[in-house]
Amino acid sequence: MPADSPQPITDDLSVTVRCAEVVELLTELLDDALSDTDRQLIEQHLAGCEHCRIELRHLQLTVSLIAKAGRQERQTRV
Amino acid sequence: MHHTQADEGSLLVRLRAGDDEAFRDVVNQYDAGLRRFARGYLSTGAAEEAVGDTWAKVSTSVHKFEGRSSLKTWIYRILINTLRTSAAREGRVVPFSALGHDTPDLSADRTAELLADSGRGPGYFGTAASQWDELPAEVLEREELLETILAAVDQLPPAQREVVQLRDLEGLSAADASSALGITAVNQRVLLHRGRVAVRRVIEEYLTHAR
Repeated sequence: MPADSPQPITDDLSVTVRCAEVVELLTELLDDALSDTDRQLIEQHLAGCEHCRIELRHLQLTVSLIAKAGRQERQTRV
Repeated sequence: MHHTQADEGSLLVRLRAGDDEAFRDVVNQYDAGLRRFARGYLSTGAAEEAVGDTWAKVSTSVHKFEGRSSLKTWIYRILINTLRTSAAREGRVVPFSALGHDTPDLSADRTAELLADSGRGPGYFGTAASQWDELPAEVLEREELLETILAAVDQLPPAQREVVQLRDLEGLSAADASSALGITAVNQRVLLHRGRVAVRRVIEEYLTHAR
């Protein structure tokens, strides 16, 4: 785990993480900034939780729409 | 257009050789973003002046740029230093981390938020989330929505706005954004996440009414 990573949720993969914890860590998941254990926990949770999968898709689309808005602004100003 | 590493290498050679066309290309590419960033902290006139000063410094210092970060990150760092100077000159307290103030460890805040949420358990989502990501591209890429998104970014709290701008609007890496802003990697990610969630709410609200 990189030195600047947040404290891991747990080292124990048998622990069940809650949706509240998962949605808070989605940006870190997208940045590939989670410890291996946390990433596995989040991925396990996502595999069984449609709501969190939708949250992840919405966050990914938000990121892509912000980038698109930035590109459009640059194009209109050039 | 984003420069690839190879593009950037040849661009730097031209910039260092005093190639005016290369300089104009760089200005065209980054000027709008720099102005947006500066307007978050200074009046429009002062922001324009700070961006002008930034370009002057880029022009005179590009031969010193060693390429340890991307050109864009280096330019933003110059802007941030210029804003710091302008803010000090105007006697303004600028409430953002980019000006070198240490920010508290936001991961502690996040822990508190998680604890506050801990009673929600599996029922964390009160209602089924609407699946607006399945809307057709012509709705999701509507110009009005993209303008709404830019306005939402502008209205974020300063610390969130600067991170969202550098990461998502300008495409800086996490490491480059943290370094340019002088904040920890953890705080950068927490601020980014909060900012993205706030923008996402605005998108959702817009699309709810746009259907």
